[in-house]
Amino acid sequence: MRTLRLGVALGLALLLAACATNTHKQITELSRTQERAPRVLLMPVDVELMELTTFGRTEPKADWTEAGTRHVSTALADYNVERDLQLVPFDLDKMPDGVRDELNQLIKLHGAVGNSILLHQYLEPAKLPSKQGKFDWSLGPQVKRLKETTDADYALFFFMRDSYSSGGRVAIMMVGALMGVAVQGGVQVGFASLVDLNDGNVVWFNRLMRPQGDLRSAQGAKESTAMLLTGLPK
Amino acid sequence: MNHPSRRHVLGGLCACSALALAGCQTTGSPAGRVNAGYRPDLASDEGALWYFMDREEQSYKRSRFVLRDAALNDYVREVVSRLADAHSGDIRTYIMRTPYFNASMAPNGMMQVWTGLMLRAQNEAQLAAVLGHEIGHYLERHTLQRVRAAREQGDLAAVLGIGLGVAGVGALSNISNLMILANLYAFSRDQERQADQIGIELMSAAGYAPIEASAVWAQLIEERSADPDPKSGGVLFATHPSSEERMQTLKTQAESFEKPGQDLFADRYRQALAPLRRTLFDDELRLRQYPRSLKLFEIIARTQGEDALVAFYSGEVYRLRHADGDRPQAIAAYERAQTLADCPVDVHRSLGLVHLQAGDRTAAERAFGEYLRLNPTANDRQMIQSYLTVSPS
Repeated sequence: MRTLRLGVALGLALLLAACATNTHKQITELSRTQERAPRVLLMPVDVELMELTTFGRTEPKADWTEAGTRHVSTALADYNVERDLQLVPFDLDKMPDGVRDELNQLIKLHGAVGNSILLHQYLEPAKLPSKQGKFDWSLGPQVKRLKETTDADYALFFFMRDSYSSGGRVAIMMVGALMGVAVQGGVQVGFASLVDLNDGNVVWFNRLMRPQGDLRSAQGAKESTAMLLTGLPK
Repeated sequence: MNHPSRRHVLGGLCACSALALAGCQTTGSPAGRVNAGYRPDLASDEGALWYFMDREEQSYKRSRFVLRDAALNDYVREVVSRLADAHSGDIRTYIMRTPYFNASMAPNGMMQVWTGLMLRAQNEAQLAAVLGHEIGHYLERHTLQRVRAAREQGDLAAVLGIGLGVAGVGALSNISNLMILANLYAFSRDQERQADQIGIELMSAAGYAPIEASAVWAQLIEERSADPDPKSGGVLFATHPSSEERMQTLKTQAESFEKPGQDLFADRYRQALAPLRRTLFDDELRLRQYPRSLKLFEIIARTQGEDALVAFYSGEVYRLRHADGDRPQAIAAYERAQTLADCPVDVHRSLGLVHLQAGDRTAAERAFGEYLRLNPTANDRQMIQSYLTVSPS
C-alpha cells in the first residue's frame, strides 16, 4: 500500500516535473531559551536502495542498501560539522530494548507521515481540503518519549529511497527513446523532517525527487544530503 | 480448448521475451538445499531477501503477540532441534499468539508457530509434523524459488501486456495475468508437497510416529466440516494442495517411515502446554466460530479425553451462542466440568449467568455465591453482586 502510494506520488510528481527540492516550514529558526542552545537529535537514517529491472519492477538490494546507509550517515555527520549545525547523533542501539523498539516505530512512522506529506502537500490533485493550505503535519505527542530519554528539543529524520536502472532497463530506455517513447529509469526520492519534540509537529520538511543521483557512492550521498538539508533552520 | 490457445499465446511470446530478456542477468546464488550455518552473499537476490527479513525480524522479536514464556519456548526449541538437527542453530522460532491453525517459515530461518496450531495439535508428534514441514521450506529455499518464479512471470506479464496492448486486445491481458497467477499457485502447491515429504522424513527420523502427519489434516478436515461457511478456510487453501490430498499422501507415506520405538509424546506435550492451555481456549472462544469450536473441543475430548477445561469451554460456547436448546447443553457441560479435576472457579459464574438468563434467580444466586466464596478477590465481584441485588426489570 505504502509502495503503491509512493509510486503514485512519484509518477505524478515526475510528470509535474517541479524543481528537485521543495521546502515546507512552520519555523525559520529554532526556538531558544535563555539557559541553553536548542538540542537537535540526528535520528538514524532510513535508507533503502533498489534495482529497477528490465520490465520496471523494483527489487531491494542488500549490499547497496548497506553502503547507502553508511554513506548517507557519514555525509550527514560531515555536513553537521561543516555547517556547524550542532546536531547530536543519536545511537539507537545504546537505548534499552523497550525504548529502542518504540523509537524504531517512530522512525517507521516518520516514513509513513513523510510519504503522506509528499502525496498530499506537494501534489495539487491530491491536496486535502481539510488542510486548507496549512502545513500542519505531526508525528503525534508520543515523541515526548524521545525528549524524555534524550533531553533534546528537536529531532531530524532522514528518509531516502533510490532505484537504479539495471542493464536491461537501460537498453529498454534506449529502444524507447529511439521510438519516441519515454521509459522511466531509476529515481531518487527522499525527505528530511525537523520534528518538535514537545508536540511531534513537523516544523520543517524538505523533499528531494530526481532521476539522477547515486547513494551507492560517498560523493553521491554527500550531494543528495546537502540538497535535502538546504535551508534547515538553525 | 483452453490449452491450445494458451500455448499459442505463450509461443508467440517467446521471440519477443527472449529478445527483451537478453539484457537481464540473474544475480543468483546456487539453488538446492542449504548447508548448516548457511548465509547467502549480500549482493545476491537471496542476500537481499535475508537482509530485509532480518530487519523485519527485529520488530517481530519484540512484538506483543510473541509468547515469551521461557519454559514453553525451550520446549518448542527442543522439538525444532530434534527435527532440524545440524540446522537447528539456523532456525529461530517465535510462538505467536494467533488463534488459527498455521506456522510459517521466512527465508532467513525465522519460523512462526501460531497458538491456534498448538491448541489443535493433539501431541508432540503432530506439532513436529507441522514444524518439520516448515523446516522443509527453509532447507529447500522455497521463498527464494517463488520470488524468482514471480520475477520471471512478472516480466512475462509485462511483455504480454505490452504485446497484446499493441495488438489492440488490451482486455486480454487480464486473462494472461490470471494464467500467471495460476502458474504461481501450482508452483506453490508443488513446494507444499515437497515440504510435506521432508516433514514426514524429519519427524520419523527424530522418533515421532509418522502417521500423525496425516492425523493433523484429518482433524482439520473434520473441524472444517462443522463450518457453515467452508470458504472461510482462507487464502491458505488456494496456495496449498487440498487437505484431503495431503492427508491421503501422508497416510500412504507413513507406512514406509514407520519404525519401532516411534512415539506420540502426548504426555510431554500436554505437560508443556498446561500453563498456556486456558489462554488457548480463551482465544479460540473469542473467534466466535461456535460450530467449529464445538467440533474442535469434541476432537480434543475424543483424542485426549475430556478434562475440566474442555468441558467448561464447551459450556462457554453453548452459553455464548445462546441458540435454541443451547442452555441445557451449557448447564450439562458445566456440570460435567465440576466432576473433573482442576475445574476453573469461573464455572460457577457461568452457571450463574445461564440461570439468570433462564430467570431462575434462586439457582443463579446459589452459583454466584459459590463463585464469590471460592474467589474472594474476584475483580468482577461488584458486577456479580449487582446481579444478586438488582431485581430484573
